[in-house]
Amino acid sequence: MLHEGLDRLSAPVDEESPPDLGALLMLVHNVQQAQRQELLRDLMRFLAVAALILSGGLWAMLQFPLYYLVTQGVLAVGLTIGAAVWQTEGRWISRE
Amino acid sequence: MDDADLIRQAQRGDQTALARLLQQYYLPVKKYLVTITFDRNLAEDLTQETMVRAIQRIGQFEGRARFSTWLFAIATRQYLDWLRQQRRERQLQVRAGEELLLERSDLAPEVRRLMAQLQALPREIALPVVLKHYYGYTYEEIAEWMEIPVGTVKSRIFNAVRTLRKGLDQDHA
Repeated sequence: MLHEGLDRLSAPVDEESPPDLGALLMLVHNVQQAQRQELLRDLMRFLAVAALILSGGLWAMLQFPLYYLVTQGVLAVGLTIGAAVWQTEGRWISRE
Repeated sequence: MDDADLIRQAQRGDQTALARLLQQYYLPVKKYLVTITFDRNLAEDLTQETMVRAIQRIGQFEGRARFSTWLFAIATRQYLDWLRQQRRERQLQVRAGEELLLERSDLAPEVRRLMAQLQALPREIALPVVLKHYYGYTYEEIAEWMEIPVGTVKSRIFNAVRTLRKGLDQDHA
């Protein structure tokens, strides 16, 4: 009964024709172009943010070299300790 | 040229191959959407949106399932997104046009009653019933498409079938 009902409901689609190839080609072209532009915008945004962060770092290094070096050192040591703790905890959990 | 060749060329950037592929599957996708939405106008809109999504994601098609199944999965997600949006806007209602379509058809009364009951079910409940009992998809496939646990799919289908049976029995009595 379900088959009969749904077959009947969708039967009119069988009498339709698909859109012509030209229209679909236009759709493909437009969608892909918009997609490329979106990717380009994302890349530009990423590069702009990266340039901002790098120029900030460069400015800090030139203005306050000592503070900059100390901060870099603290960050490196902190990250190393963090990574070591994270790795060790992972091993303990896997042993349990 | 068969589907596999068209897909390969489309993934390499051949726009004509992709357009041909979409033209070939346009009506099967629309037919599929009519059976899950019970609404031809909505099916038309969602078919176009499905085509746009397919164009954007053609590079992600890995050939693990048939191309039609891949498109149906996209179409189902488009429909579920539409349902969520409608719920947010509190606009969901059965469209009168499709009821009339069934009223006019020369279907047996019990089939018409079954269809009316199916349409009256909440859409998230009717959808897995159609996918399982009309298209024969597995519980796992339905769960993946609807992004819900397999157990939820099973219980939705079980409860829906029970409701439909009860409704038909009451009509007979």
